[in-house]
Amino acid sequence: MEQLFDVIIIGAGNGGLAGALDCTCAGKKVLLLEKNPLPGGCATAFCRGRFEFEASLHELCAMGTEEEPKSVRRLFADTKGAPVFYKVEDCFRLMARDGEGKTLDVTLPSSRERIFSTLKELARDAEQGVQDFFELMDECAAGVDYVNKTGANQNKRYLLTHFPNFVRCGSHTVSEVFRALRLPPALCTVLGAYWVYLGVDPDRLSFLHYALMARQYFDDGSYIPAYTSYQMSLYLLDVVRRQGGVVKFNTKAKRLLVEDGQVRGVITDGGTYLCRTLISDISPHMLFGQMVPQNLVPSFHKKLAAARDGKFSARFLVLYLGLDAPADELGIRDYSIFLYSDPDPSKVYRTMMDQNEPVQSAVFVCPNVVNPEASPEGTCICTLTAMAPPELFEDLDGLAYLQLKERIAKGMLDLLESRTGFRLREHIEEYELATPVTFARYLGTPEGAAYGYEAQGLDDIVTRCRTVGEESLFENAWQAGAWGEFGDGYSSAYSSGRAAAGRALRYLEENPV
Amino acid sequence: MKKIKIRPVWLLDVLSFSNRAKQRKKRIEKTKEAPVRADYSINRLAGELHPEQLCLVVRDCVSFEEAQGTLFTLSRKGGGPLPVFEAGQYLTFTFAIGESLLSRSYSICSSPREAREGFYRIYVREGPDSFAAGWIRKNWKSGAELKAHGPNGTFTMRPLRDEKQILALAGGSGITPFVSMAKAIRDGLADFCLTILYGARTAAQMPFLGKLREISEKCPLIRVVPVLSDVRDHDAPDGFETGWIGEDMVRKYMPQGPFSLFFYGPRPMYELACQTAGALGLKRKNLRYESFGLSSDDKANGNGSCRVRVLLPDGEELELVAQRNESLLVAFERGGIAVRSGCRSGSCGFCRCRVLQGEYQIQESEKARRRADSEHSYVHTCVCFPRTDLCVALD
Ligand code: FES
Repeated sequence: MEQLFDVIIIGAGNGGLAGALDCTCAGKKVLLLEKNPLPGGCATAFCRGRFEFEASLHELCAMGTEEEPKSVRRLFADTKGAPVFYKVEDCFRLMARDGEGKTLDVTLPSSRERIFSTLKELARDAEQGVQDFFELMDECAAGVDYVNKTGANQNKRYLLTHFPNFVRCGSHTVSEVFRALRLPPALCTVLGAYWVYLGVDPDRLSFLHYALMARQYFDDGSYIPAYTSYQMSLYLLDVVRRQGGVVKFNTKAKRLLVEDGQVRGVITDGGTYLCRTLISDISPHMLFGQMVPQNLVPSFHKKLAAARDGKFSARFLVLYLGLDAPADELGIRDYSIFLYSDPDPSKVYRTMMDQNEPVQSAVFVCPNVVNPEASPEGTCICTLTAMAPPELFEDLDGLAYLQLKERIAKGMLDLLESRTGFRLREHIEEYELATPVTFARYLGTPEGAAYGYEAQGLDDIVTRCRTVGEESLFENAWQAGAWGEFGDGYSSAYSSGRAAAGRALRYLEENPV
Repeated sequence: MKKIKIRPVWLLDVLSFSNRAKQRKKRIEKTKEAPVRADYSINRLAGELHPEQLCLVVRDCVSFEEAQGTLFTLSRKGGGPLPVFEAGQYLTFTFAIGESLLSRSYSICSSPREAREGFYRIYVREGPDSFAAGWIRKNWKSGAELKAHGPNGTFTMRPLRDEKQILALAGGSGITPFVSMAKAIRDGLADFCLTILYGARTAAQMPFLGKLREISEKCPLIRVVPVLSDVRDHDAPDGFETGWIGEDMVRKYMPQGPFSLFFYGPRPMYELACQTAGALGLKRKNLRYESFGLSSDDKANGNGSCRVRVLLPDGEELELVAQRNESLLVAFERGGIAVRSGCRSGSCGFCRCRVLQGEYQIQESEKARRRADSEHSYVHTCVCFPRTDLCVALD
């Protein structure tokens, strides 16, 4: 007889781990399946020589402080083996080149007051704009809160009287709202720069999505764990196990057993397991495209997948550098630097996605600036991340791919050195380049997308949050992770995993055996 | 807050905001139903480069009796191109000998271009305690089917890191990755100068010398210097050096200008290479090495045996006896437990497992473990030696 679980979770990424945490905490019998030998998905690390590289995490939001923890820190509340987190003081330093070869160079601190004083310096008459901007973000946060709480029963009049600007901005892009606020161009450049963490440029990114994420980031700053995000993954895994969850690594889900619109079980390469509910931490495209016979895929999801095809969010190039000199000796003072090829953030995006243009914009991160334990003494680690047009990697043969990788790595290093003035080349002791092909290999996502669906148009986050209740994968199956309703990012993936767990637990309660 | 001044068109917004969910539904409804697409060019490339497993067939084997080695030519079962690799990478083979389940890694000694043409070459040499290699030489015959993982490994020339001139030190069968590099240079896939100091006891124990000389004659970027350790100076044929590859020899042949020292061979030779690099004032980044297995010094960890309780992924459990002077990985293999391995020297992490109870020692010289793994008692079993009875879990 096959074993029956209350909840099976496919994928031990951030969403899967957070979902497993809540389900085991509620005393359910949980099976977590992971095809890789390690937990975490993107939240992982790898070693080269004497360096241990963070694979993906730049900034951890929704942390709050030790005294007043917010949602992400609360996940790590159990003190046994909890990671140490280091605060990242500044939001980012932005170096944006303009057409004349001049560079706008601004370091945006975190916390509202410090941001105020930085931005005031930047443009005349900026004061009112910045004030409006923050007040609007506050109103949006409150408005979203109200909408989430009231769901379908929201009172339109109440909404209009209490959150009029929220409603006005609700369906507009970041650029449109910036224009309406009459923000001076320099402020649009600086405040708009944050788009890169959401994967969609300001011309298409929903202002509400931006406001919800950026507000937290600007106000509270961010954190990183001492021993990379893999430490967070192992911690969550440990709690899941201690709470009785069964975790199987090196186990790939191959097929879902579907009957009457419900998932009854999962066939893996290590056996078949039955379930009462399912949480998927892998992409809907791969779930429905590979694990379910097409005649059993709900018609709604076939249409949704067709409408979304080709609308995957960011595909990344990441250059990891292990350097044989300490950061300060190399002149590195900033945790993160956004190196942009243009003051217009949307133009930065369009150039990034043009396959005929070499990499011209990227985000530089040096964890040693805030984390003294990031690498062995006398060394430092840097990463440079850029977005890649997927076409670059299409129809390549293996040899051509390996050569392209080296060309890209060189191009990225050239970009980094020429824009920052750092002399890093002679200090490279180890390096590695991850491409969409690398992400496809480890994550199995379509085209190696790392940020789920592009959060705009059909998949605008605010809209998805309102419809997610009616869009379960099957009657008893829900989506977690970056492909879920909150989109990409660590805090978002954790949240969607927990939301999926909430739905599974409700279902189990309403449908007792 | 005052109302934001809004262009007239924004007056419609209230409506459009509350209609967004409806609009989404409408758009989805309007889309034509189609099978869900799961096949993407990028994912296909990832699968081609990194297959879960390779099924290979021995196409040809040539035995070198004096060198106690065999050169195998392998192709894909059913034919067709093989995953390309970077010169210097290895394949890991898994096979059973009696009750034991073994895995062994061998550097590929053919050109990356030849992978696309459908074959890999590997060279398997029998050392004094290489029980597996002896078995392989006897049992892998033409037509034999093999299971392999890979290609993997980081012992490769990386243009952004390494100098454009490489001095390679190779002892015995440690020559194989450099043979692949030489061929990659010949085939125009790599662009650097390679000088190889190729050490062996006698000329008959240099199965690759002929090939390397042939390549270097046509390709000025490559130079090979054979060094015989068991032959006295005046007995050496022309074009051979004699003695051990040490600082003097390195000084004599090292390129002018900056260079990286690449070393591939057993651990004791590695110590020598390190000393040499130190004496030459090379930066740490300019010394690259890969060792196959551990030296006997590393293994010195007392005598006697320990009991190891192993919790298997399927919930079964079993007990093994492990020697204190053998790694957990070896104990697993003897016990017939399938564990993946790669480098067998602590760096790749394939052999990772979790220790639940008991004491163990990690080979100090090898530390490529994620720190969180250390915190949670995950070890790389190839460099982990039991000190007391253990309980371990395989994920
Ligand atoms: S086999 Fe590579 S770390 Fe053990």
